Amino acid sequence: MIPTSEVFELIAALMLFVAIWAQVGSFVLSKIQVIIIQTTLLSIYTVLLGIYESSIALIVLAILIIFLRGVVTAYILLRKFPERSQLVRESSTTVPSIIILSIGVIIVSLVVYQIALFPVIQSLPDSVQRIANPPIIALGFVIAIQGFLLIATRKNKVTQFTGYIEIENAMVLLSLGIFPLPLVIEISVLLDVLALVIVGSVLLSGSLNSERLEDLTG
Amino acid sequence: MNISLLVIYMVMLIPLFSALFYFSNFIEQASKAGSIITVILSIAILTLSQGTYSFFDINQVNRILIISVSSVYSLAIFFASKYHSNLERVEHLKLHFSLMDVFAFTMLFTLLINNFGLMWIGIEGTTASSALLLIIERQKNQIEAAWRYVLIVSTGLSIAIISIILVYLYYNTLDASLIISKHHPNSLLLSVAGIAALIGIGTKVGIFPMHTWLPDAHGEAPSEISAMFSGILLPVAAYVLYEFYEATYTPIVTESFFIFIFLTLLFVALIMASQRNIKRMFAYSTMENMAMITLGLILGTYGLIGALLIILAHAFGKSSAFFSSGNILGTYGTKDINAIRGVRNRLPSTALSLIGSSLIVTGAPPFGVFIGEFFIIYQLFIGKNYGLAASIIVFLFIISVSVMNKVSKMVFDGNDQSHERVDLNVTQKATALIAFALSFLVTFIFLGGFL
Repeated sequence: MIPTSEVFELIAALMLFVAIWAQVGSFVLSKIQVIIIQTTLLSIYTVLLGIYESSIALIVLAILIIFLRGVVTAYILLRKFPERSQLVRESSTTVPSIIILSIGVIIVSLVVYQIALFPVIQSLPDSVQRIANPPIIALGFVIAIQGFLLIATRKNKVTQFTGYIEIENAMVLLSLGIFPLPLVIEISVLLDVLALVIVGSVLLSGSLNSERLEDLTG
Repeated sequence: MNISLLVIYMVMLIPLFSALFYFSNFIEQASKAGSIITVILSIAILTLSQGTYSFFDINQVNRILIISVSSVYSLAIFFASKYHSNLERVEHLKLHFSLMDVFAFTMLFTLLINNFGLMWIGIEGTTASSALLLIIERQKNQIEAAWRYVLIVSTGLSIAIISIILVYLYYNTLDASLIISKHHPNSLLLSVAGIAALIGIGTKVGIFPMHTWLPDAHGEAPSEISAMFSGILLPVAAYVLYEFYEATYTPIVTESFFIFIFLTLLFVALIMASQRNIKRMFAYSTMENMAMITLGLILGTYGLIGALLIILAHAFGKSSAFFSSGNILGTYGTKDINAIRGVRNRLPSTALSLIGSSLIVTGAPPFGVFIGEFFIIYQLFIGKNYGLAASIIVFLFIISVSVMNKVSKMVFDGNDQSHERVDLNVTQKATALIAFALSFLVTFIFLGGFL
């Protein structure tokens, strides 16, 4: 029988692998698949945690995550690709260097976590330490950094938005790993992100690449 | 429901109700009426005693901000009604008014709600509701600026979620007034929470180096939206940052705030002289004002009084500056400072509002921003932060000289007789002058003991 904690850690690790896939893939459409798969994994994590802790709130949260982020968000972004001809490769990627950079950033993130954040968890009262899950917190932190890296290294707007969704998924994972927030807050965050996806999709109507414009310098 | 709570609900919901008129042909009239009612209700809120009302909180900072939000929202609605009167697509203008109403609602909600989680929701809501306000003319630059705004601010605010999780972990509640009323010991956990809030919410406030969206969004937005961003949105974000600071302050957090504020002022002082775009220049000036407001809020006592004075004077002063910039852009067809000359002869009333508002926002005596900055620097001296105080005085002087040099050239240079006077719409002229006059009045309101 596999220990429950290892199941949670496996799901979180898979979320990290999906984040790395987002770094190395150069087809824009694959970024939406990244959102769907990573959100599905997050939803599975949440529902299992809900069952394990007998928490209806977490199960409700899991359903909302998969519906609002896995289905609605992906649908809105997919509508921006009505034709196969738009399944473009990104012009701003150089895959080998991105892989090296991505792995380097993972190592640095884990070192920073160990030096700066792990002592914070150790400083928590015993009652809280029993709830907190250090490996999950570490993975959440690393996935968030991968999201930032995706935004910083790419010019394609869909890819940048995928980075943002990755960060939001990492924040949910961090919350579940440290101390779950009240359900009303979690749901509000999900709805807020959905509103931003809708606004973002309007802004995607122009060029799919973020551009350097003369008027926006200085 | 008692009358106080009713007033609080109404001040938030009336802009939202006005937004529903998007589906009719009376959205402009509804927005104007709604904004005026909101101003009246915000003055009524001043009469309420400080404390919690159901899910909401009234304190000495947010009641001043509510006045400035409602007033600038109202001025912006009136300015927009004439500024965009030549817009080809009527539905774009209807959406613009409706989104301005929703934007005002999200800001008022953020100010009033007494819960850290919902405050974050509110501040993120301001991003969602205001991003599309940038692209009324659907220009390439506007779409790019709006994209950067949405992406950078939302990503930054995601970091602030860490702060919410840690605050909830520490206090086991997110009730803001309850948390702030408790005295907390020095804690590593709260230090991390405070720094996460500084980086996350600081992105929205325009703290260096997370400010990169700010000059783009302010520079490309229509002038009334630039006024709302600068005059009220950023102070609302500064208020949220202040609330998080109150819940998490430790010596490390306070030091971090000082360092980031110092860097922000240094950066603005270095970059201001090289500005070529009038709206980007005022955007960078806003970074300076926000840094001073944040500094005043966290210093407390005299610093807090100073911050409140700057909040009010800056809201109207910067609105006037952006309204004036809009009038200049409409007349000259450019934002390039070097191409704008002879404003005094061509646009006399705009010249007055531009010079006056520039003096106000750069902290020239005897205006409110000057008095506010004086109080904040005085508080730094009381706290024996001599180095920081001296640096700030130097930075403020450099920024002030840089801005006034550029504004003076636009207004006073090139006023030869060949330039004909341009007759602007009365509403456009009046809103810029009214905002300037209100900012000027702040000094007397303060001296009269009404603040």
